[in-house]
Amino acid sequence: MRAVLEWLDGWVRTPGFAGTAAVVAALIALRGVRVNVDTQREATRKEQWWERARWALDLTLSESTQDREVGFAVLDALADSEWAKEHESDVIEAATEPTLAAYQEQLEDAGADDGAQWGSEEVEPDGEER
Amino acid sequence: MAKNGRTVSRSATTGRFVSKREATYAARARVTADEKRGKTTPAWIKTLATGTK
Repeated sequence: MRAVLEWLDGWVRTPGFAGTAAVVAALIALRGVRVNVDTQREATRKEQWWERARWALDLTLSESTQDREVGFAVLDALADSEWAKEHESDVIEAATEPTLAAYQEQLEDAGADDGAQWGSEEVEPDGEER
Repeated sequence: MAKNGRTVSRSATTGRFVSKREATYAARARVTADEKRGKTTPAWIKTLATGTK
């Protein structure tokens, strides 16, 4: 044991040890930087996802049917993104719910009214019937 | 309101008419979001999303 300690004591005073320690320190620092860069990149991507989602959500609230269609189509694409996790999916559900509920309500109304066929009619972008 | 001799209603939920195309896009987004989090989508929304009905 004493011999080992003496060898270690001698080795830590050599330039080889200093060089090894410097390389290890550099590797640790490099790993830290890499983790930081990855975290930053992920945060940026997530932020970009939310910017696009905000734009799409605004469109879904537009008075124009065509704009709302584009908004929901973009939300569909965003929902498929790798950056859409559970919380983002919850937001998409919340955004689509009023429209789907309204459409279901229209179908039910159409069912009560023999003359209307909401589910199958073609509609112009501004909401006017063809 | 009457339109082309038929009764046209506006949604009490949103106060506006929802076209089938708009509802289909909304249904597609909903199906994709539900698939992502392993949630079951109501059958009528799935049908609407696929446009098979």
